[in-house]
Order: sequence, then structure tokens, then C-alpha cells
Amino acid sequence: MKLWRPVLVLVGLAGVLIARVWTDQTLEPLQSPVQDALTLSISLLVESLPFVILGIGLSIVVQVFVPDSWLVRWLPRNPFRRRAVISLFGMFLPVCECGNVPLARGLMGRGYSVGDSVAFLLAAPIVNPVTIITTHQAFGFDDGILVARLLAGYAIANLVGWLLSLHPQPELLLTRKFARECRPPGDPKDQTKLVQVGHMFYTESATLMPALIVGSLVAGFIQVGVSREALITLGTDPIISVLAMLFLAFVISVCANVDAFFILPFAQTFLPGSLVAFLVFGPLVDIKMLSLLRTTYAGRTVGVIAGVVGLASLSLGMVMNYVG
Amino acid sequence: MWAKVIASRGVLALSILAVVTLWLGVEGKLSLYIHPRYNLFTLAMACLAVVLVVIAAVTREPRHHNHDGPVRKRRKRLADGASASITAALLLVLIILPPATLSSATAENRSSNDLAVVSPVETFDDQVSLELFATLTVRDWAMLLMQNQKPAYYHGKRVDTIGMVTPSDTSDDVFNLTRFLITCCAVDAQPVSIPVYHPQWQESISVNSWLRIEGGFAPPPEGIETLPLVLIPVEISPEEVPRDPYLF
Repeated sequence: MKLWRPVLVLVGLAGVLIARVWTDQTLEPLQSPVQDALTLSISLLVESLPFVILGIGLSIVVQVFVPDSWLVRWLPRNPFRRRAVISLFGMFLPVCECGNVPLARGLMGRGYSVGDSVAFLLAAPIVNPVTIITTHQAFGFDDGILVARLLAGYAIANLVGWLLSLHPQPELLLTRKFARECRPPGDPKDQTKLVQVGHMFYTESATLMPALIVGSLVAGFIQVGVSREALITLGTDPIISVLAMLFLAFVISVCANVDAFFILPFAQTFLPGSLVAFLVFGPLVDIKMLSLLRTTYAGRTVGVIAGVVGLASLSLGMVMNYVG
Repeated sequence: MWAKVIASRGVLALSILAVVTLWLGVEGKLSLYIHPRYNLFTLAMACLAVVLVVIAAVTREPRHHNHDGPVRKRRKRLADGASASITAALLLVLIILPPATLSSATAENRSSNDLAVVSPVETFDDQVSLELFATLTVRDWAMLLMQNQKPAYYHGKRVDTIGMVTPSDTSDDVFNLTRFLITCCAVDAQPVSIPVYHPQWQESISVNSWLRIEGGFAPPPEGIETLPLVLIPVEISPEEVPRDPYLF
């Protein structure tokens, strides 16, 4: 260990702080929609940051401090029941979807299958207690929105998990880089826990942060370019309104914990099925999330996840709009 | 050297973001991006990030062996270069550009005064003191205007509120005094506004500027049929952007 490195890091961070204070006093914000796009992008980043750090922290705990046997011994051996249990993990982890990605990576690092990780990843943001409470606060039990969201999110997560479990070579469902990282390392026991923590934090940050930044930036700029008023005019058509809501969910990339409040103003103009489609699709597939998923899953896998979740959300929304 | 920078860009990005977040928290500017109820959690996690960055610096970066072929290596180098450039650009913006509130461009892009957003948190009737009305925000007035459009109700009720100037599409003689409502972060910001009648306002007032307006609501002059009531200003004064420009 070389102790000059952390000192150098702290000096560098102090330099960033000094630069930030100085520019705040000397420069002016831009006067254009670009400033709004940057504000929205930074807002997404600042909002996601604590959840990503918490997710990385939990991932490190799972990989470094929790014994292998504890993680698997009490799970059912039957794959269906196993995924059904894993997809309820989110009830005990009030972490938003961005934070679940590093945790899912950690679970795979400890031997969970790709199907298991995806079942967890897709169900967790919807079955988590904060999401349930906020959805109830926003809609109560009106029009079956809360119940439909919970049941559909849980079912879709298990459906996608099952589909991916059918692949004969699960390793191909992952990016090459992550598949390599999942292979048992040669000598983990030779490293101290501190070194393992440092290495895992380094690896997870290197993978997730660029994806999060690119995803937030794209989402921020698209939001400035796409008129919400134009989307709202599509609200009363049973099919087009669902498509409009799926598009909105994809673009805005808002956190699952609060998306019910975001969508509440649209309840006046959009049909209930369209709102449920938004609430089911948004936490699982959006610009920021796709960017994060690609750090771990191969392009085709992400395509299957987005396709199945999109079709299921579309069908659910249309059925509710026509039947409800 | 380049390979080291590429490999370290995640930790670099996270550490810069954590430091800027801490600075925003200390300066009281986090609410430009997120709801204040998340401040403590966000700052605690930013502190944790700094600790983890120091641990990562102590333990050095892990060694990874690249087994990719030349074509894949070239593609990976390009992709890494592109993502590193975008990351660097946003980090530079984070360090250099002063934080700012959302502007009229976003207000115009999003529908204003959605009923569910402005829905009554409390009701105002004739029993409350007239003094109370001078403390109401743009949101409260927008809510009142939706609940009650009888001119007699507003007689003697003084408006004294601040907001950002955004254009109105109802008349050239009207602008909107606007605030954004936030439930989680700036991404879900919803504009709420009240119409202000001020002929030729464009000559003395600029869009996106912040104003304090005193006056009262009354029916607009003939020619503005779409608005039942407008704010007739008695006094307009420029205002600094408030510490909490959004309403929560």
C-alpha cells in the first residue's frame, strides 16, 4: 500500500472544491434551454447518486462479508420457487432501480443465475415498500392501479427471469467483461477484506458511473426536446395513450419510488390502463436504466428484457383501458 | 497513462460528483436538483463515497487482463473514449457551471396548473384574515383561481408574491408569474402560474427574470376573453432568485 495515493486523492478533491467555489462566484448560468437540459441531467445524477452508492455498498457487503452458504442455503431449489422468492427481495431493500444494478451484479458474483438476477432486478423497484406507499398515497386503491402495478411487476419479472433461464449458455447473456468478473478469482483469500472492498468499489464505479452519466445526459436533453403538452393530447385514446405513456416513462427516467407522484397530474387526462403501463414499464426500462443494464447484460439480453417488458406493459394497459 | 485514465474514470466521476454534492449541500443549493427530504440521505451517501474512494486509492486498482481480439479491442477503445469524453464534459459542467433553476423553456414545454398538482391542500374561505392572503404563494393563488372565479371573492384580497416571468399565449398584454412544484427532483417539476396583466410588459420585463408583484385579481379588460381573472399589479419590483426557487 502506498499512502501518498489517498493523500493525492484528497488534495485533488480539495482542488475540485476550490474550483467549484471560485466558478460559482465568477461565472453566470447559461441563458438557454441547454442550461435546463444540463439542470435536468444533473438532477437525475444527484437523485440517483445516493442509491447507486448504497447499491454498490450492499453489493460489496454481499460479495465480501456474507458467507456463500447463507446466501443460497435457505432458497428453494426449484427454479420457479427460487425466482419467486428472489423477486421479493426488493421488499426488504428500499433502493431505487439504479441501486439494484450493482446489487444484482453482486448476487451473480456469488453464484446466482442470470434469470435469478433479472427476476430480482425487475421486481425490486416495484415491490419495494417505498414504491408501494407512494403509489398508495397517489392513487389509493382507485381503478386497481396499485394492485395492477404490484401484480404485473412481480409477474413480468418472473416471466423474464424464466425466459432467460431457458438459455443453454447463460454466460452468453452477460457482457464478456462481466462474465469474466463472475468467474471465481484465483486468490481472493490472499487479499484482506479492505483490499477486496477497495477493488470491488473501483470495479463497480468504473462500470456504472460512465453509464449513469451518459444515460442521465441523454435523458436530460431529450426531455427538453420532447413537448409534454403534445404527449398529453394523446391521453384519451386507449392504445395511443398507452404508447405515449410508455414513451414518456422511457424518456423521463424518474425513480420508481416517486413516479406515482410524477404521473398523478396525468390522471385527469389519461386512462387508468395507460397510467399502469407507465408505472410498470418505467421502473424496469428507461434510458438511464438501459444504460446501466448494458454494463452487465449483453445487448441481446437487454433487448429481450426491454421487448418483453414493453409488450407486457402495452398489453396490460390496453386490456385495462378496454375492459376497465 | 490513457489506459489508467480510462480505467479510473468511474472512481474519478464518483468522487467529483460526491464532492460537488457535498458543496451543494453546504451551500444550501441541493434543492435546485432534489426535494429537501432527500438532502440528509444524499449527503450521507456522498460522505460514504468519499471514504470508499480513499479506500480504493489505498488499495490501488485491480489488475484486469484483456483477452479481446484486435477488432474488439479497437471497438472497445472507441467506446471507452466516447464515454470518457461525455463523462469528462459533464464533470466539467458540474465543476464550472453555476447551478441554476429551471427556466421558462421548461415551463412552456410542460402543461401548467394541472389540477392534481395544484389540488387543494387547504381551503381558503371568507373567515380567514385578509392578512393571510398576502402570504400566499403562486401555487396557492393558482389553486384559488381554479376553485373560485367570481371577481367579488377577490375584492380587497391583496396579492404579494414572487415568481419567474414566463410568456403567456393568451395575450401580448399578459405574462405568467410561474413557480415549479417538485415532488422528487427537478425532473418531475410541474409549473404553476398566475396571469399578470401588464400592457407592453416586454419593454421593461424580461422572460426568466424574478419579480415581486403586489396587486389584486380582477377581470381583465375587454379583448382577453379566455382569462376570467388576471392579476393587476400595483407594484412590480425585481427580485433575486430565492434560495428555494421551487415549491415543495
